[in-house]
Amino acid sequence: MTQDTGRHGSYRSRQVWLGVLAMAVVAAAVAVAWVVHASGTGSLLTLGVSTPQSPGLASRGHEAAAGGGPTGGVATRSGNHHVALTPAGVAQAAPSQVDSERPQTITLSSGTTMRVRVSSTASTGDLEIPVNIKQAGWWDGGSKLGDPFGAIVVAAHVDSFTQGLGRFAELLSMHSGDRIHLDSAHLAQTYIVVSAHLVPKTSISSTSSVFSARGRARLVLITCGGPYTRAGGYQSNMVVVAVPDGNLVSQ
Amino acid sequence: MNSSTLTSTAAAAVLVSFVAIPASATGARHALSPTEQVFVLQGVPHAAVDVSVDGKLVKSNISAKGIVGPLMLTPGKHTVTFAETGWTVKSMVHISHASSDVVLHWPADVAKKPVVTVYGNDLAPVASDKGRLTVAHTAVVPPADILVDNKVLFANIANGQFVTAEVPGGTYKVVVAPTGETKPLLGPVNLPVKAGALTRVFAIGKPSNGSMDAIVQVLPLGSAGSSAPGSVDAGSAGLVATPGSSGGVETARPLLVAGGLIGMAGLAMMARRRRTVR
Repeated sequence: MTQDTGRHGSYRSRQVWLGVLAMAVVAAAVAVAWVVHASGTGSLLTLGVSTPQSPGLASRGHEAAAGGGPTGGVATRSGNHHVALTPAGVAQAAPSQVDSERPQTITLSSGTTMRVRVSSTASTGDLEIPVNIKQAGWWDGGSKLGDPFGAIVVAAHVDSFTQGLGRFAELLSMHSGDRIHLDSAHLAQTYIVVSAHLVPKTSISSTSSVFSARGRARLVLITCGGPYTRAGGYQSNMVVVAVPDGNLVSQ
Repeated sequence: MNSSTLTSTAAAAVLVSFVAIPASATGARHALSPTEQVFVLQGVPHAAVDVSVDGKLVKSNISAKGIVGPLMLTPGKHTVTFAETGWTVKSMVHISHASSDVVLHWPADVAKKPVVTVYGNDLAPVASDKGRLTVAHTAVVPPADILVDNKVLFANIANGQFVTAEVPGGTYKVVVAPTGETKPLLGPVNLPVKAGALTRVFAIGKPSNGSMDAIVQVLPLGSAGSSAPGSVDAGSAGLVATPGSSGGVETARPLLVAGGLIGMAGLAMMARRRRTVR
């Protein structure tokens, strides 16, 4: 009986082992199928990314990576088996490298400092500046501190029905020579005003130089002003342009 | 029962495998399969080089300025071997960026063999009318300035270093000159920088044998930020209107009163809601 049980038991365990083996084989087969499938996808993706020098090159690189190790060892010139393996250099940014950043605060010539938030252009084409008249908005499609070219555009409300006069009302009395200061997370730059003009609102458009990425690095401040009508509100924009005064400072 | 058990076990295994593997495959593929884009750049003038990655020949006889790739390699360490008739450079390359350039180039000083430097590519999106320009020093020259349109845009870059900036799309007149000098080591050359793309420039070669040159590579980038505004409405109350304007402060007062009333009504409603909740 015990023998019987034993035999039966070993038969059972053999059966279980066979089952496990079957599972393992199937799992392995599926895994292989998956890897092949993944390889195929990888190759296709690779070929789609850009233009390799020769077709099939990318998939060869891929195989090399997937296979790992010096398996192929396709002969290169001069027996390189004894060449020492040296770590490649990792490129470093030159000390003069500046990582540009959006402005976080603006200090006007009176010494008034305002927080600068990120402002985007709405689908209507309007720049969505902060409702809070104590804050300004930096247009997120424009230049940043440290960029070598283009306009950093900062706009704020001149007034509001509910909050009264805004801090950017100061722009209306600005003139050439006034200084404005921007701070970002790690950079600071002082600017000197070179022009301050009221322009008809209609003269500001998505193609105007006010928003241009071209030309020298500059700060463009915008608010409202000029004639006002009950129906149409302010008819003009006050546009103040300032250029860097001194060097960009890391802080 | 015996054979049927086996059959059903196998069937179950198949079922389990098919159900389980695709479910875990996404994660497994992400972790194990090649995901990093690697370009191999041949920055040694007058050489024809064989490139092998992890012991497998990828391409042979690559002349100067040749670019191999993109190869899709797993993050981590790989052996990249460059072989010429007179020398072989076997380099341990650590791939840690989504996109990298592995560059074979001469070091700043005269040497028997070139060296290998890995440059990680910054693929962060840029404003729609700008491109990212990266200039790398991989030539046999002392630290250099990069002059763009006759002005020093990037100062004092040493061999193996780079500088990068976001610039408006367009064509720039570029000169590479020893730091603080204006006599060109390379250029002036007209360099097109495409908006919405990363343009990588590798200065290569030796001025002594007139082999100074540049490898230019371009990769597409996503777009950051919004388009230029068509209007900026930055005021409403007419408090600073120029004399002779209609409306203005007079208009503002009744509206302020109206605004105040709306605000009070809102507070009252909030108070009522709070009571209801309690």
